[in-house]
Amino acid sequence: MKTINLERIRRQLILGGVAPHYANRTILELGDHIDELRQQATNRDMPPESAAEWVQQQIGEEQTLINEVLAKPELRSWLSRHTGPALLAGPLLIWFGVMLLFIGGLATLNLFTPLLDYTPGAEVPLIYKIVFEVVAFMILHLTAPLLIVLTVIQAKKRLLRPGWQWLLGMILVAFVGAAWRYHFNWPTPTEQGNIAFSWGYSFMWERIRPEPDAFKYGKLIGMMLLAAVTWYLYNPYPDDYIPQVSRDV
Amino acid sequence: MAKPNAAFMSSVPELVVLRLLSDREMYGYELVKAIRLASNERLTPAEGVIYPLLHSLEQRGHLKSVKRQVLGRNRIYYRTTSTGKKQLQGLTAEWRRITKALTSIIGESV
Repeated sequence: MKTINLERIRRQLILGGVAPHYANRTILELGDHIDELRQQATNRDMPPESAAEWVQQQIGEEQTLINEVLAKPELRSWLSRHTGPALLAGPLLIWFGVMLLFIGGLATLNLFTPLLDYTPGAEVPLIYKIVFEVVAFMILHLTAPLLIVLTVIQAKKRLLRPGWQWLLGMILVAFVGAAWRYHFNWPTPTEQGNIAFSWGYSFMWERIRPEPDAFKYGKLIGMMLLAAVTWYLYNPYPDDYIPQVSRDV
Repeated sequence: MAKPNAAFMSSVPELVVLRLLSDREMYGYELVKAIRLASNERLTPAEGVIYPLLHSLEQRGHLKSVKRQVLGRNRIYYRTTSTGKKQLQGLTAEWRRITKALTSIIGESV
């Protein structure tokens, strides 16, 4: 007897480019539908073997269901159709976009407020300093790790195996994200403040200094470890993902 | 002049679903039963294929869905939106035009 396997359907749909959202919803609804049909068969006192066959007939062939979904391009997401290139270039582009916004924001702030300007006798309020330092820390240090985690999550949701495109995408983001350094000198009543940004690595062993170079390499390795840990710990489709539904009809 | 409509037959399931969901919201299994009942068991598609159609209609803005928990189960209910009702009007008019044309070709008595 042919069977319908919901896990297999989901896998086929996702690998066929259907957005995980629609693939998951399809199998959740199919699972509920199968339960209803089974209940109907039970109410009719059908013997188990013929009930299973009847349910199968009613719901349709597994491949027919898959083909029906795959035939609808509107159920595919752009990311699902171009997963490799998107995960290669996307995180890096987002990282650059966030950094540009941050630096642009600073420039705008500098233009329109006296916050970062030197004003003899003026002291920057502590709350401004705290908010600014926290926001800067989050944007400059946490954007790259966050993008790496999101890349792994997207790859796992789309049932991708480790592939050069998205692995390279993560390495590039980790590389640019870890090399970023900044330093704020807040203006005091007697001294003008300044903001310094730098980006780069020292590749010559004798020039590597514990601070900042070792710190940058440490961040780079930390981000790669984060990617590995996310890969092993994150499971988008746990076994109890389809409650109440047996996987085979 | 009437518009050519090569894909008309493929829009029949769409018409049926939009029509039934314009009366009241339903979830997939309920909708399939409603189709059977409304068509006197003449329309009996493979029941599972209703879901890609529902998702497609929702994606195009013709249906709106809402998740409800019923007897411990998460069910997704659908209903026709105002855009869907306009689409339904168009499909119904097209259907009437084609059946009229076919009737004039094959005649009432065949």
